[in-house]
Amino acid sequence: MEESRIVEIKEDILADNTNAANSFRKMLEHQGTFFVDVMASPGAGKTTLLLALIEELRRSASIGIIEADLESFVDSRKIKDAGIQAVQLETRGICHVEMSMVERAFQAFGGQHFDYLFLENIGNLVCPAEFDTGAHKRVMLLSVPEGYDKVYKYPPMFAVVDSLIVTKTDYLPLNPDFDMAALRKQARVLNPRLEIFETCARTGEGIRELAEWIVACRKELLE
Amino acid sequence: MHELGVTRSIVDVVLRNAQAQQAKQVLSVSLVIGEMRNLEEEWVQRYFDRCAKGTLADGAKIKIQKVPMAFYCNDCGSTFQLDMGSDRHMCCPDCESENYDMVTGGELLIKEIEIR
Repeated sequence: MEESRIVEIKEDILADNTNAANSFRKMLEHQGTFFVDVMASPGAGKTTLLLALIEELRRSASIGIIEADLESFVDSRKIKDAGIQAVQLETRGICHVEMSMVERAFQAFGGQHFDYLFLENIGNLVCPAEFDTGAHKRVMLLSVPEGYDKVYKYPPMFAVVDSLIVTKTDYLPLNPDFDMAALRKQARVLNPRLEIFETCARTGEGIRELAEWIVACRKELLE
Repeated sequence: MHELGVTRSIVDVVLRNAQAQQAKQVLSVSLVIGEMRNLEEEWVQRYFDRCAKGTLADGAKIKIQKVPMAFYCNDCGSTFQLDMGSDRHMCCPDCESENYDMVTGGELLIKEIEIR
């Protein structure tokens, strides 16, 4: 039997996905499109926040939304009902979105160009953190009913995002244990430059500030 | 669950390299994984066994070298670790700056393969 030998590889495991994501980002940039990946656990309010953001952004900009779920067209229908272009991406049981799925979903827009493209990722606070989806900014939501103590339980998500958006702040009076100061402190341990917003889509709190940040990020990217 | 997606990529990279080396068989695969990655050896091995079935890498052993999370202070240049579970003020232990970056802990690398 032949002797075994060691071959050095030193390759990033997700290099193919990362390379595809980098090309996609560049392509969008040339089209003037700013792409945001929105991640959170199920029920944190991703679709509702997107609907509120749409109202802030649509007056002066075109918007496209990729809705990812394991199954169903529930979310893309909500977006379309608001008069916005949406594509439903069904991952058929896969717990996260990878680049090949984003590319396929984007093609379904049929060559349209947008000022803003949003991906509503699969409701999951773990797996989506690992996969670059070609977005210019990645944001995560944490809703007040979920509790503030998620940073040490789900560190990768807090570490990879550019912004933490606390949602459903109208529940704060009902959840007095929600320690906003501790959440801010813990999140910044993992991610010192994290932008943190406190929002409520129902009352409109913080939505304008968030929209302004997104507009400013696009401007900075395209300058 | 994301172990499955990651493992598929591992199998792709391993097979590409093994074929380039004209290997007859892959005996083991050594990975370098940051602590922050939440990848469990047991599950990677289980998915690998499935994804690599019938290929050159069928039966290869997965070896994972874990890398702890470490931070670099942008103000004084020192490198340090933080106790994530503690409630104390999180800052650089040397200069108390809060301007630091994570420098290790996010690794996701295939280091080497053992072939024959």
